[in-house]
Amino acid sequence: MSHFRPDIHWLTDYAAGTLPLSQALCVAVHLSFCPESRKQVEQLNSLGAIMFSNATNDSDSLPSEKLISEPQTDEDESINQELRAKVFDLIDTKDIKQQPSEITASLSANDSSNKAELLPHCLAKLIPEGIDQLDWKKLGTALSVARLPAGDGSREVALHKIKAGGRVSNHDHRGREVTVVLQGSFSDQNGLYLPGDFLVKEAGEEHRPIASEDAECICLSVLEAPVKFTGPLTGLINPFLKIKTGTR
Amino acid sequence: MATSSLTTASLSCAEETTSNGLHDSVESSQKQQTGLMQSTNSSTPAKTDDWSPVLIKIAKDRDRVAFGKLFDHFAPKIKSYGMMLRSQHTSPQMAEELVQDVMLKVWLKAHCFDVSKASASTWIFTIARNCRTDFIRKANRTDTELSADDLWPMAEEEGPYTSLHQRRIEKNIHSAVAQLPPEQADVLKRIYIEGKSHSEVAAATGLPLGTVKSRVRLAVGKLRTLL
Repeated sequence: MSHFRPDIHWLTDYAAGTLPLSQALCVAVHLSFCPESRKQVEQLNSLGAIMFSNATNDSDSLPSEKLISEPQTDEDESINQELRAKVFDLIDTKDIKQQPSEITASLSANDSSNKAELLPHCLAKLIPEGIDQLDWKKLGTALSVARLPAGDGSREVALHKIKAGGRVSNHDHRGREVTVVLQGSFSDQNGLYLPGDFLVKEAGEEHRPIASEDAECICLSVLEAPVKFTGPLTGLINPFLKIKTGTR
Repeated sequence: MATSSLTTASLSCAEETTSNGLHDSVESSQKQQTGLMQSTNSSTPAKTDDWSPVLIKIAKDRDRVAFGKLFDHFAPKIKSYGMMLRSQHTSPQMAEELVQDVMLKVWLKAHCFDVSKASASTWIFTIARNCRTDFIRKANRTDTELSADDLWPMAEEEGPYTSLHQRRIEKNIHSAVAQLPPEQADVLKRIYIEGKSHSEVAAATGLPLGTVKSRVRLAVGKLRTLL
C-alpha cells in the first residue's frame, strides 16, 4: 500500500467519472500500484451502481426518496421499441464478426514487448515505444521533461525525470499539480515518495524535490497552469511560460 | 458511431482473458451461477442485484430472451443516466446512443463479467460510466489514444471478495444509502449522476467547497463503516 494516496474526494470523482482524463490517468496509475485504493474504488463503484439504479429523470426528487419507492412503472415507458429492435439487430451482426478478431488483436497487442510493459497499462498506451524513446528535453542539470499526448488542452501532461541525487530548483505552482511516482524515489519537505505515491501540490505551494541517491526518479505529472521557478537560473530553465499540449 | 468505441472495449476485454482465461471464466461462471440460483429462486430478479445469473446466462448461452429482460430493466436507467448528465452535449439522441453503446457492450463483454468481483449492476454501471465519458471525449474532439476503458479498468485482477461477501457489502451499501441525510444523498447524486466534480457541485448549489467535501466525506465514511 502506498503511503501517499488520493483522498476520498479524488477517488469519488474518479469513480464517478468526473475527473478530467489527464487527472484520471494519474489516479489510474496510482491504482495499479495500490491495492488499498483499488478496494476503495470498488466500494465507490458499488455506491455508483446504487445511485445509477435509482436515477430517474425527474431531477427534483432525491435519490434517498427514490430508494423507498423502488421504480416499478418506468421500466419500459421511456424506451421505444425501435431502439430495442435496433440493439437486437446490432447484437446479431456484431456477435459473429467481433469475437474472433478480439482474440487475435489481443495476442498481437501482447507481442509489443520491451519497456512499455513495465509501465502501467494506461500509460504504456501513451508511450508505446518505451520511456527512453520519448522526446526528453533537459531543463537544467538534474531535470528532464517529456510531454505526453493526453489530449488535455488545459493541462500539461508530462513525465519528469530527475537524475540520481539530483535537486530540482525550488519552484512554486501557479496551478494545481498532481504527481505520481513511477520509478525511483524523491523527497521534499513533506516526506519520501516511492513508486505509486500520489501527491497534489496546490497553487502557491513551493517545494524542492530531491531524487534519492541510488537511482533516477521518473514521475508522471499533470499541471493545471504554468510553474514559476523561484530559484536562480530562472531565465534559463523556465520552460513553463505557456502550457504546451502534447502533439503526436 | 458505436463501432470505434466498441472495438476498443472488446480489445481491452480480450486482453484480460486470453483464450485460456476465457474458458476458465466460463467454467467459474457456471459454478457461481449454481450458487446464485439456489439463493434467489427466480430468473427475474427485482431488487438490487441478482441480475448476475441473467448476465451469466447471457454469457454462457448467448440467450436473447435473457438479454431482452436485462435490456428492459437497464435501458431506462441508462437513458436517464445519459439525460441527467449536465453537459452541453446532453440530448435525447445522445442518451439513446448511450443505451445502444452500453447494451451492445454488455452483450459483447458478458463473458468478462465475474460475479466474484462485482455485482451485475456495478458492472453495468462501470460500462455506462465509461461509455458516457467516451461520448463526451469524442464530442469534445479530444485527441488522445486513451479511452475510458484504459483509465477506468472494468475489473480488478485480484477480486478481494468472495461473491457472497461482495453481495452482502452491496446490500449494506444499498440500505445505508437509503438512510443518508437528503443533503448528503443529493451531493452524491450530483457527482455520480450529473457528472459534476466537487467544485462544480459547489458552484451549482452555491455551497462552499468545504461543505460539499464534508458531505461527501460523511456519506462515504458512513458507508465504509458498514463494510
